[in-house]
Amino acid sequence: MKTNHFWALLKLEAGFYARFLFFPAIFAAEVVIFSSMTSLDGTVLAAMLGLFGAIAIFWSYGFLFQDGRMGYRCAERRNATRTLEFPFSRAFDRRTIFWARSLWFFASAAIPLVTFVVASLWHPDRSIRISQAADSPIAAVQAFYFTHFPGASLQTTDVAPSLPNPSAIARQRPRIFRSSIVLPHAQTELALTILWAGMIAAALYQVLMLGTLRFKWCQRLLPIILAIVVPGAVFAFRIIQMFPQAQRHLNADRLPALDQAQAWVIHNPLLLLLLGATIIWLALRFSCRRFIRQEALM
Amino acid sequence: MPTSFPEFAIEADGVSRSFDGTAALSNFTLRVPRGTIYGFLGRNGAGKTTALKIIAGLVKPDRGTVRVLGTDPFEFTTEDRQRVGYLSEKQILPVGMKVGRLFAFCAPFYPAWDHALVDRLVASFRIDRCKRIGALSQGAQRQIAFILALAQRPELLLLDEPASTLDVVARREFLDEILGLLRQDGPTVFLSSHILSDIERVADHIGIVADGTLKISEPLDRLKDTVKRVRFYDFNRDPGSFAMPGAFRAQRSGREWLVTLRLEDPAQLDAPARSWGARHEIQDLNLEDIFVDISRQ
Repeated sequence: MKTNHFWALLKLEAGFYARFLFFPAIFAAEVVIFSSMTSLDGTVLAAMLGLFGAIAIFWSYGFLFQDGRMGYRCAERRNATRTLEFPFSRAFDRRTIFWARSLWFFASAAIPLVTFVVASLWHPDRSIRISQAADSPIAAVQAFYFTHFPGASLQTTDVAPSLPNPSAIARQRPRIFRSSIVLPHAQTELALTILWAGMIAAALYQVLMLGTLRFKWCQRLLPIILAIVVPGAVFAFRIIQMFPQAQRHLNADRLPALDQAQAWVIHNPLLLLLLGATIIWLALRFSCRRFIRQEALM
Repeated sequence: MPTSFPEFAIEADGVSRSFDGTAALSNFTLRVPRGTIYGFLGRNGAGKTTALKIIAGLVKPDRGTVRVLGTDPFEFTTEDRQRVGYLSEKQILPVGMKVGRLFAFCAPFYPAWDHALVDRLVASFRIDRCKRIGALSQGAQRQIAFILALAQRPELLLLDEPASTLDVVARREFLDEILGLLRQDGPTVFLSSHILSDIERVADHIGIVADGTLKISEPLDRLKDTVKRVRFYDFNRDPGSFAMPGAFRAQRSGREWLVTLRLEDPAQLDAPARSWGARHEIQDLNLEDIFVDISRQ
C-alpha cells in the first residue's frame, strides 16, 4: 500500500462525502445530553448508546458504501458500482480505496461512542441503587460489586435529612435510608466497553452487507431489522427488569447482565482487546476482498 | 506495463450479461482496431452502457471473454488503468472538492498527466478552478469529467454519452478536442452517443448494437458506401411480402417498396427486379437513416 496514495484517497473520500459527519455529530451531541442525565442507570444508558451507535453505523455505512441512502437502497442493477465508478475506473489501488473508506466509516460510526467516552471522563463514577424489593440479602448483591469492581464503596443516604426534628419522627416510624454502591471509573469503563462492542458491530455489519451483495432483499431489510432489534433487545431487557417479579430475582446470581458483563470486562481487558482486534481484522480482510471484487457479485 | 501490442484495442467474444433475468447483452462480439475512433450506437436499453462498463471492468460478464489492450479488464492493475480513460454516462464526481484540488489530486496517479492540456481545456470551457464541483452545472461537471479522462493521456478512451449534457459550443469544442487528440498521438477512442451527427463527424468505425447483439461493426465509409435504400416501383406483380438476402428493413409505401440493404454490387438487384417486373432506384443514406433502419430491423 502506497502511503501517499492512502492519504490522498482519504482526502478524496472526504471530498466525496463532505457532509457525512453532520449526523454522527448530532448523535454525539445527543449522547452528551443523555450521559449527563444522572437519573439514567447503566442499562438504559447502554440502550440509548446502542441506539445511537447503531444509527451511526447504519448511517455511515449507507453514506460511505451506498451513496447516502441510509443503506436501505440496494445498488441499481445497471449501476452496480455507482458510487465507486469514479474511483474504480481511475488508476487507484482498490485495496487502498477500501482502507481509506473503511477508516472514514469506523471514524464516523465511532463519533457518538468516543464522545461518550470523553463525556464519561467528567463523571467517571457510576452509582448502583440497591433495590429494597429484592428478596435476596442485600449483602450478597453488595458482595458481588465489592468483589468484582475494585474500589467500590457503599453509600447510604438519608432520604429525609432536613426534617426539623428527626429524632421526634424517628420515634413515630422507622427512618428511611437508600443504599447505593458507588463504582469508581465504572462509567468510563462502560463507555470503553460500548466503544469496543460498537467497533466490532461496525465490522460485522460491514461483513454482513458486503457478504450479501447478491441478495438485494438482504441489503434493504438488514439495516431496518438490525436498527429495530439491537436497541429493542436492550430496551426489552430493561423493561423486563422493571417488573416486580424480575426485581425479586435480583440476587447475587442474577445481577443485571450489563454489570456482570462489565465485571468480566474489567478483569479481562487484554483478552478482550485481542479478541476485538482479531474479529475486526478478519472482518476487514473479508470485507476488502468482497469490496474489490464487488462487480463480480452484482 | 504493456507486454504486447495486439491489433485490436478491444476484443470481446460471446459476451452475455443479464440483470434480474433480463438480458442486457447476448453473445456480444466486438473488435475495435487500435488508433480508431469507434462510434458505438444503439437505442436506449440496447446494451451500450453495459458493454462499456464491461470493457471498463466495472461489470463482470456472465459469459464470454473480454480483452482490453491485451488484458482482461477484471485483472487490470493500476498501471493498466493508467492506460484507459473512462467517462461514464452518469459520472459521479467528488462534489465536496474544489475543481483545482480534484485535478491536483488525480495528477500524481498518472505518469503521463498533461497539465498543459488541463489548463487549456479549463480556460476553453471557462471553468472556475476555485469552485466546488457540487456548485457547478451538470454540463460543467461533465466537462471536468471529460478533462480528467483526457488529461491522463490514455491509450484507450472510453466515452459513454460524453456530450449529452453539453451545449452546442461545448460539444463542438469537445469534438475538436477528440479529433486533435487523435491527430496528436493516436489513442483509440470508443465513443457511445445518441447524437449521430457528432458520431458521423468524428468516427471512422461504427458499431450498431440492438437487443444486446452487435449488428454492424465496420468502417463508416464502407457502411455508407454499401448500405443503401432501394425503391422498387411500377410492379407488374405484387410480391406480397418482401424477403431479400442482406435486407435490414423492408417497408411498403403505397405501391412502392423501400428496402434498406447491404448492396455490394448493384447488379444483385437485377434478378429480383426482373422477377417482380419492377423498376428500382438506389438512394444514399446518412448515418442516422442507416442507424434507424438497422435498429428497427
